[in-house]
Amino acid sequence: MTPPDHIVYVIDDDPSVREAVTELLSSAGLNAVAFGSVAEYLMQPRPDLPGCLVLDVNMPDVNGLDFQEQLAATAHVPIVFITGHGDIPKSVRAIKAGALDFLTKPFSDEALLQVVAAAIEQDRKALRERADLAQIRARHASLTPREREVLPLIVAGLLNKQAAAELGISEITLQIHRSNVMRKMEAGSVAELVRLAARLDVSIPPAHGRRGMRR
Amino acid sequence: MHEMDPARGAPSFESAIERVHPQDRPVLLEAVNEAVRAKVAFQPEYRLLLPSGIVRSVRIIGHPVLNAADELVEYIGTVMDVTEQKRAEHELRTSELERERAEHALHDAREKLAQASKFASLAELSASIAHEINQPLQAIVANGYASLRWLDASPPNIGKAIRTAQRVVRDGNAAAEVVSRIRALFKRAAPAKIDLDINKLIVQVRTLMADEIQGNGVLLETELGADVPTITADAVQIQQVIVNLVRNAIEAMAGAQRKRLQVRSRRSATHVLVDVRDQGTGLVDPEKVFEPFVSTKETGMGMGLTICRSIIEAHGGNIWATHHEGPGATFSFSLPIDASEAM
Repeated sequence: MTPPDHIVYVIDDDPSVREAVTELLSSAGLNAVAFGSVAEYLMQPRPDLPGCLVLDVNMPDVNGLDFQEQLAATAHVPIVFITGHGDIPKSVRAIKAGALDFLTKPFSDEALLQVVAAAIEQDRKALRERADLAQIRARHASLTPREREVLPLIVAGLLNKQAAAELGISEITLQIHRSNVMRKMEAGSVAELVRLAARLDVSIPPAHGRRGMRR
Repeated sequence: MHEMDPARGAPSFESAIERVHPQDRPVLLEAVNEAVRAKVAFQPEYRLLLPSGIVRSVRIIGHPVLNAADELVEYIGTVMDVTEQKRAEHELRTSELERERAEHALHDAREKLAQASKFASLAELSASIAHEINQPLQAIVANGYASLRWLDASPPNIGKAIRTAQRVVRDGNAAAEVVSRIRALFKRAAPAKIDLDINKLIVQVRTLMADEIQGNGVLLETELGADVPTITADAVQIQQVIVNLVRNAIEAMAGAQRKRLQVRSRRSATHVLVDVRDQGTGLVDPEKVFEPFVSTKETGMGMGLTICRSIIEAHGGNIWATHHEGPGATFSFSLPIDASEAM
């Protein structure tokens, strides 16, 4: 069997509900693990896989909504709430705090599976974004201090001659730095480098261009 | 300390002993003699009764001084005034006793409250019944779907389909079990019947709910019929009915200007009757309120009055509601004086 590419956590204090929800997820080909309490869930090491948390609102140890607030500050998987009774104020609070959905028991298989699939997809995207960003940061970290000075100048659209003048170095030297930046940042074009730099929050003072022109 | 004049020199043992409280003298002498015989240190505590009449608690510490031949030469010692220490200890003991008493009282009150709410909050009871039934239902539905999915897979996973189908049966039985437990709770044969003074019961309810009544600004008037006889009934269940009617009345008057609540007991030729009259919003359909899942309250489950009716009918009585202009409603129930009519 291939290792799972996702994980669904089910937290419900009622053993039969927990078992049944987990079974339903498994029958749909999902990789689901169950916990009887929030404490149990927190104790377990969690793989770095795109996932989703199916959480009963009324847990004996922690109120599900309070738990959601605690998690809000961390990078956590999306939450789908399940509840015994359609409590409108609670569901409004949960959704406002970023819950993906609020299902009232008993819910249909489609309702659960659709929202869980959507949650995993959302988490997959978020994970990819985080991984991409980490990679771009690593590339940026591999630049020499001089290359890090060259990067904003290229992004600001300066010509080689202008950028070289800005830094007080020869055009040839600048060209070498420039090609190193492009190679290390794995940018195929200036446009791509601009896109990468935007995600890094590298400050590119617009004044650069004009000042260069004046010289 | 001993109220002796230092100018007159060291007091004799005898004069020191004279200052010892007569009640403590024999014990002290005994302890000292014992120590002297064994040539060991002593440290007894005793009281002094001074010439001024003051009683002080002291502790004497004596250490034996022995010569080379191991013979007792003398005792060197000190006498310490431990009066303050003793008083503090006594106070601590007393305050501990008081605290224990207070804790007992608090515990008792909590017990009473727990007892009251156990039988009082029918709305909560019905909410928890709903929850109890809903949990196995959720499990049944989810397992049913799972079973279908296992069968629908290609190839079908028969083993897992059977396993989940078995869980459907198990959880179905669990739900049925919940239902039968609830039925047992309100079974007609269930009441534990005792001799019951309905007036006493009303007074009890008034005490139990005093906070709730006052907290909601309600003025409760009780009018207890002097000729109301003792009946045979289940005190807990009848209390539950009265508490529920009173609580409904309080809630019905939540927005009312005047919040007067009257609880009255009376008798007819054959029955004891209780009326709970409020000045609340009144009733649109007095017949309908006893039906299950009918509620005038936004958060109500509509089970309270249904359970009240089942209790009263189990006792061979009747419960009914009347709307009156004025505004408000009266809920009344009757219980037969001759219990044999109930069965």
